[in-house]
Amino acid sequence: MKKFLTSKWVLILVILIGLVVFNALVFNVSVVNRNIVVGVGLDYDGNEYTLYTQVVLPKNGGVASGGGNNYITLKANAPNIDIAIDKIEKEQGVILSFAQAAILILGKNMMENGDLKFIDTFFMYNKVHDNLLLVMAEDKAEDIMNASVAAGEVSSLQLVRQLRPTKPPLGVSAISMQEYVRNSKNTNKINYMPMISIKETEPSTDQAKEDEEKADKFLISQTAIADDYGLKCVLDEVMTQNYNIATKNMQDGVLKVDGEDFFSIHIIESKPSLSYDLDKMECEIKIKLKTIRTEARYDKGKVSFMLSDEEIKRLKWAIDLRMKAIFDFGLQNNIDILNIKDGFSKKFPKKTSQILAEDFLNKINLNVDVVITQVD
Amino acid sequence: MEKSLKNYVNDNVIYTSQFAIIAFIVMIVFKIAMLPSYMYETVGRDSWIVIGILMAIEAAMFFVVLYIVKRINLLADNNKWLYIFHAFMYVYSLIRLTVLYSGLITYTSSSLFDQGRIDFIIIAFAIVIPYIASKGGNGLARLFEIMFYFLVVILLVMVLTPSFKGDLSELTPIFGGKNDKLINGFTDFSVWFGDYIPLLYFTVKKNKNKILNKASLPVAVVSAVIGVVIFYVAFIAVYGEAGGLVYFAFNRMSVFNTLSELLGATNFLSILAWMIMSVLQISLLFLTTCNALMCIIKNRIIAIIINTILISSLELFLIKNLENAHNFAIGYVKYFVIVCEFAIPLAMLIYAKFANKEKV
Repeated sequence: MKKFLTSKWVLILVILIGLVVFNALVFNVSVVNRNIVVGVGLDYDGNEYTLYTQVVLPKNGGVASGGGNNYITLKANAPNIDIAIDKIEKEQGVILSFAQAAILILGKNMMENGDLKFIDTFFMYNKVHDNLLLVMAEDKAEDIMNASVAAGEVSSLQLVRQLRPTKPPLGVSAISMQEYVRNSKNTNKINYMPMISIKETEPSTDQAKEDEEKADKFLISQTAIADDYGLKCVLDEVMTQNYNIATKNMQDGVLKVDGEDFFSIHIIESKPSLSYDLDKMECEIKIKLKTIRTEARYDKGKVSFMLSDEEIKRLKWAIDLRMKAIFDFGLQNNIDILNIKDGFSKKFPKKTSQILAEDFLNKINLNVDVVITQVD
Repeated sequence: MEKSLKNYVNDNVIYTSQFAIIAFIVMIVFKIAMLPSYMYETVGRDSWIVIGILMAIEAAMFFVVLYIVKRINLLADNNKWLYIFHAFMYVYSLIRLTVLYSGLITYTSSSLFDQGRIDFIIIAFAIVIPYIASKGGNGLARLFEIMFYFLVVILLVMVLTPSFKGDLSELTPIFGGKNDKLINGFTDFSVWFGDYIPLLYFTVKKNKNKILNKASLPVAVVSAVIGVVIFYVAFIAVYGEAGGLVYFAFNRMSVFNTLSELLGATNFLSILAWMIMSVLQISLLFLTTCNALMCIIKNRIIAIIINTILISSLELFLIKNLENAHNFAIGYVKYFVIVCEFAIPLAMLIYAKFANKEKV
């Protein structure tokens, strides 16, 4: 006995008991009392904020055994997010777990008149991950949260699926909370997020589904442009494409080149880069485009997906026009939509006062250089 | 000197390769946790340059320490002048331990639990860390060596599966504009540096493999410096001016990973990697305080007990949270720590050069 009491096994036993006991004493919430949030919505009515949390209600068996899940949307009105979360938790007797939250939907009025600093609250809350996507609803976040999408699916997760395709496409300007907050802290930068509208789907022609209710589908082809003070303007589908070509690396999408005999190309890769020359008051957008013609054509008796020299000229000209259109659109709305001032001020930090002058952008010449590589 | 102590003072002999592994881990662990945020708040976008310079100095100091510990065994040396050294080592290590331990406790509380109670976490660590330290320098070095292989695999998996949208223009203009606090970046965070000091209580012997013997430390410290600088560059590119709002940078950055996108918000690989590294680092600092006190009071067990009670009480009643730890670290103690970080190795270098002419 004495030998046992002086052996290392006593210490190991004490540690094991200690760890088990301590674990029991630490405040841990049972799964029953925990609501796993998959999507968050935020509306503002001019007076109070409404927080929506779409939470999972696991069924017996779970998804793995074909049980699937149910979802419920919980909401609370409050002067800020923390109070709203507290209200929901008190009313439901649960702890909201935001670790799996994948999307934050902001109502249009929230973007126009609400305090966008609330996004920082989510950012600084270490249980919310930085890949959380941000979107703006065409009207209210509530409409998106309550949309009835495909059977067995929940609106926020359906939206995430649409926003996070396998490759970054031409028409979707998805943004994560990390990127949004990074941009918002830089006073020279403009922010963006997709604008979501809802459209009712056509009734199914499949007889087996004849009795099913109509479902909603999300359209995400427009983009909201915002700064620290709120929503500045909304880009339509074409402008969204232009904006993405000018500012984002893309790996997917089809671009139509207009004309009498129009043609389209598939973007395999598109990489923009901006360079600045203060002496010449010039900004150059260089776009490296790896592409392939979407439809084959006959070239010297052979089928080819290569663009002809004439088509390459037209493609360059079309992109040039698109870049100038998005730049001019920014000027008309009094916003630096391509973050040109930020680029200049980083390259010429000693000339900041000149660069930040109100009429600076009006004096800038925009040059567009398109480098096309074709894949056969 | 008690009998067990006589045995113990020779229990600190490690191989050059183990020295290199310890150097690699301790150079990284706390530099990539809270420091990127603190550094960005102070220095801004140039913090990656500041950290690069500080890391290069730190890397060079490891070679100085290696030179010393190849020649003297400070635990076995009974020179009475060394009492001054032990006293400084004790205070210095205790300050660093207090601040860095607070980071580990807060990290555990926030990443492993919903609202983890700090008192229970402190009690749990008060068993684990003194136990590891009680095994001595040799045992701790073996633990570093065993864990190193797991860490390399985890870090490689994370490095090879990145998925984040960084903007390298956030790093520019380099040293552009007026930055009054640039100099503070070099002095304010001294508590997060000086990771070579605890290694003074080790004694290093050569590996049988000549390549390991010559290349292990240069490879380890250069990898650590490059790794940390790249991490800071990525951190600034990802978060830009929001960098000051991001605590536990390593945890947050690890979310931008294809594995994390598949598995959910929490990247358990990053939690695992950082927890292992930080427990090892804290154990090393704890061992240093124990060694220093042991050399003064000549009793190892009592030194461990006193330090366990002292550091647990400091965390529980004085420091309490990360903010207090940060304020304490950037207060007046930072000057004492800076002086120690250069004066202690320099003094020991002179001592090793003149007092002991033969290699151990």
